[in-house]
Amino acid sequence: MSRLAASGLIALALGVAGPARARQDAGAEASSPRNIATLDGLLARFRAIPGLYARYREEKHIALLAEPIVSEGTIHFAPPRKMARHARTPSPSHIVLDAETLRFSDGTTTQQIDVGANPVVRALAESFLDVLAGDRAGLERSFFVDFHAGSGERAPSWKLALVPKTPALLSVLTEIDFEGDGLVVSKMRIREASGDEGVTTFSDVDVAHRYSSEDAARTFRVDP
Amino acid sequence: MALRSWVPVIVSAIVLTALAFYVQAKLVVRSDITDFLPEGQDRRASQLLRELAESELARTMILTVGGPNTGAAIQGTKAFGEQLSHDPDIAWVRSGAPEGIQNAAHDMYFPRRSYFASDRPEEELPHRLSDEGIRESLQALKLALGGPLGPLVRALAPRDPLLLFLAGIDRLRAAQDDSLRLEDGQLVTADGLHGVIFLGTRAGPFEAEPQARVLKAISAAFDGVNREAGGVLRLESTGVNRFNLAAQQSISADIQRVSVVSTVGIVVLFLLVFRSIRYVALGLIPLVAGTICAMAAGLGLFGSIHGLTLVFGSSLIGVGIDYAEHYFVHYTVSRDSADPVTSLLRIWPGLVLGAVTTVAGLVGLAWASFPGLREMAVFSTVGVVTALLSTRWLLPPFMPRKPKPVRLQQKLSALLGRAMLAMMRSRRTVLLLPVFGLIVCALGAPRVRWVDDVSALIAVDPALAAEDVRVQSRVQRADPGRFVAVVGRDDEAALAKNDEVVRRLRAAVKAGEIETFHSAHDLIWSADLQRRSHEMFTRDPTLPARFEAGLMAAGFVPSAFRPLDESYGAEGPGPLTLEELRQSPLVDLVRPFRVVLGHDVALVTTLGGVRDLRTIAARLADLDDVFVLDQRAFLQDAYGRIRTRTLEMIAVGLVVVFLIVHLRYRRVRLSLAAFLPAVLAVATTLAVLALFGSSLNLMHLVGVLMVLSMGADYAIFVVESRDHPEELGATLVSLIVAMLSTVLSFGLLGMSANPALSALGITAALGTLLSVVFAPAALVLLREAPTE
Repeated sequence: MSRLAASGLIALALGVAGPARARQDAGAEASSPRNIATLDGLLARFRAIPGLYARYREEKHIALLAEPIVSEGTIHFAPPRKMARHARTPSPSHIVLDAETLRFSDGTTTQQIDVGANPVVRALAESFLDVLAGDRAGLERSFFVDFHAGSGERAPSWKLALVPKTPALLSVLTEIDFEGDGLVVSKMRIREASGDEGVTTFSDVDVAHRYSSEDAARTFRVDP
Repeated sequence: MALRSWVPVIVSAIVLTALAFYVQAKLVVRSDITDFLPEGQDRRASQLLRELAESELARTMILTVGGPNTGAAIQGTKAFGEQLSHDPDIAWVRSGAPEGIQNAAHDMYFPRRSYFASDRPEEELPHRLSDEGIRESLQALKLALGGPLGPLVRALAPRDPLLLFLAGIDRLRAAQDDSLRLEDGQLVTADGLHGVIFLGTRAGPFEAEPQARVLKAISAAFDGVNREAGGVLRLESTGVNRFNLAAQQSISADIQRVSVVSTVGIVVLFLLVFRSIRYVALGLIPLVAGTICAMAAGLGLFGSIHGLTLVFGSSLIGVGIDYAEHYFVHYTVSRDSADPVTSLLRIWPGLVLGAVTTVAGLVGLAWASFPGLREMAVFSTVGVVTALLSTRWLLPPFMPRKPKPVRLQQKLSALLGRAMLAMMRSRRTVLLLPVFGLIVCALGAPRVRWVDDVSALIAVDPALAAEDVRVQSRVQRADPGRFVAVVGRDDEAALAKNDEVVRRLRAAVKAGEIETFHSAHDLIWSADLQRRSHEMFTRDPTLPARFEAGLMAAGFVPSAFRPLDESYGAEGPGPLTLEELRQSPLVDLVRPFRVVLGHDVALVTTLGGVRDLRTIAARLADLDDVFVLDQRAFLQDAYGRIRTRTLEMIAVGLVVVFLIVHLRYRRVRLSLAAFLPAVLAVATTLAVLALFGSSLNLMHLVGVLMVLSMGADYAIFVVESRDHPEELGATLVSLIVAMLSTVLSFGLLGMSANPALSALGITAALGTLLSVVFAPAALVLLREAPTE
């Protein structure tokens, strides 16, 4: 279902959009101020990463609940277009986006969505992939992009705001904001059209993570 | 020849021409097995099978397009499907999710979420709506809000806090075959290397011409797409139409080949024996007249003609050429033939007796309770009688006044006459022939094995069968041909029965009797069941308050939710109907399950991984108008009954034939001489086939009827000549010519690759050959006093 698919991708977005802190061994050049002072520079550096691993903590503020829902787990990215989010708490769940197929599991059942079959879903899915794959044209197909670079010698800070272009996308999503330092996205905030909001922070980020074929097979797989 | 003798020719020509036009205008050939089934429960089931054979299910083809990778397969399949969707012979093409299906599903099922809350409402919902059940549901809601579907759940939960809609969607998804998935809007197989297209043809699967056009269009469209793709794509497909067309083409090719060879052979034989093309043309008159009249009678009485009637009846009418041959030989060989009519009248009693015995053999069939067998009897009787009358009234005017003596005929006649005399002198030696036949019968009888499996009559191209298995295994898990069908006077009645069938099939799955099943129940329940589910939400006035308390206790904000009685208790649009589904974009999902049976509706449930169909049948045995069908076993059983009944009717027919023969000869020995050769020839033929390891089928039985008919004629002709040794030679010549023409026409079919044609051909050829051998031997052995 379209609404179903869209929701899955928002959830994916909450998990995979960015790492909070790059490992110390991330190359100096990768986070050079000269390279990430502009959106193109930032995306160029993302294009160069061999893979990504991070832990995340997400707080969802939902109007239906008196208290926010907190979830924790890991996120993974392998170029060109593989992403995964594995939640550990409050209950195990898994989301994997591979090319144009989104698979997810809530621990009991596995479902699959053809991302290409729905323009809204496609826009959502590809936007996050485009960030990590460094594809500006892809981002701008569905979003107005607003980028601000800050200061910092080794890892300058920056902010990236994505505002949906189409009414269909706007009916689901109001805005996605990223905050980052150097190659690292420290925080991601997703504001949904319903007024609910999710804030995700990242830790133990490895932007030079390489997934062997065995690792990739294990990580980018969804089991019930 | 007097002008008077031409009157029947002219009248007949006019009548036959008129009848030929009538046949051409009205001819409809049926292939329903139901015509060969008795009335009653079986007949209802067979009607169901017939409807299914013509239904959307049988008109559906599955095509897979393989590529080196998923992208290539998807791209190729999309382009291919797009081209096919414009073909006028193709009714519909489905290769992805139909447009609008997602919103249609939401719009139909969300307002009815309480109607589809449970298909066992009295068992499940009381707990679900208890305080404990509410607590469990809200815990599940909380988890779902934080899970992968959280945003969707947040949108739905205020009006559906029990997540009934999502549960329904999950149920729908679980019901879908997991062999296929959607990728980039295209159905692909689990391995991702094949795109899948389902298409429905406008014509029925047995309509050869339009189906040939469809297959040609598919081939042409794929060639174009594959060229564009650089030749890397592979098309594989399956469908009833492919098998049917292949079988028809194979049979047509065989018949054409045999027709050409046999026509040339018979012409050469006639030229050799009669030295005139005139006899070739004249020999066809009884055949053509018999066939036209038989078809006209069949169409007039039954409205259409069954394919088996055509095969069987046309074979029997073939004896008509024997009447003509017998006449030609006697006219050209006998020295005292004053004129054509006198010559014919001399052999007329034999011809009449031969025809009467043939018709009498069919009497039993006419009394059978199977409509198809009655039709066969009527068709053949009219054909044989017309062939006889044509021989009597239409041939003499065309015969030459003074036939040119043919040396070969005369020599052969003299030789066979002498041989007959020699046989009469050494009766003990002649006895060896029937003894040999009886020994063969004794040896072969225990090995006779009847096979009623329809597949034994059809030669399936192994490559086509293997392709079918590959394609089927890629796209579905159901066992082909095994299903449960419920029949009701309308959609609602059928749905109500279907609810109960599904309940029992679930128990069967639980018990391990079947692995899976697919039913319309995945999409829709009876209105009564939907209402019962909905009403469970309106019965308890304390439910809204208890639910609000549950929300508070679970940490929810109650004001964010609609009151429960508004969410689930409102009447809404009422129960969903099958008609609404059929008018929606979800029609493709429900289409394979629904079949119209005259004024009734049948809902079909396909079964997968059946351990033993009998246990399923036992579970459903007490339900009216519920059928557990194994198509193959059912047809096998049906053919078995036809075969058994036909054998019984042949036995009855033989008794009648003997009585008629005895009425003519009044002496048992002579009557046996006219009767036994054909019986022994048939028995020996079947025994020989059994000894060579052939299993026997329905088409062997058609051959048996032919041999009995012709064999009886041969023996009667011989017995009729018993007191005219000078004619005996001519009779034997005519028998040999008749036998050779039979071998040339039907015997060549024995070499056909098609098992049905082969069975008919071998039985006819061997049987007539043995009849020709046994007929004179029987006369020699059974006549009272040998004549020198």
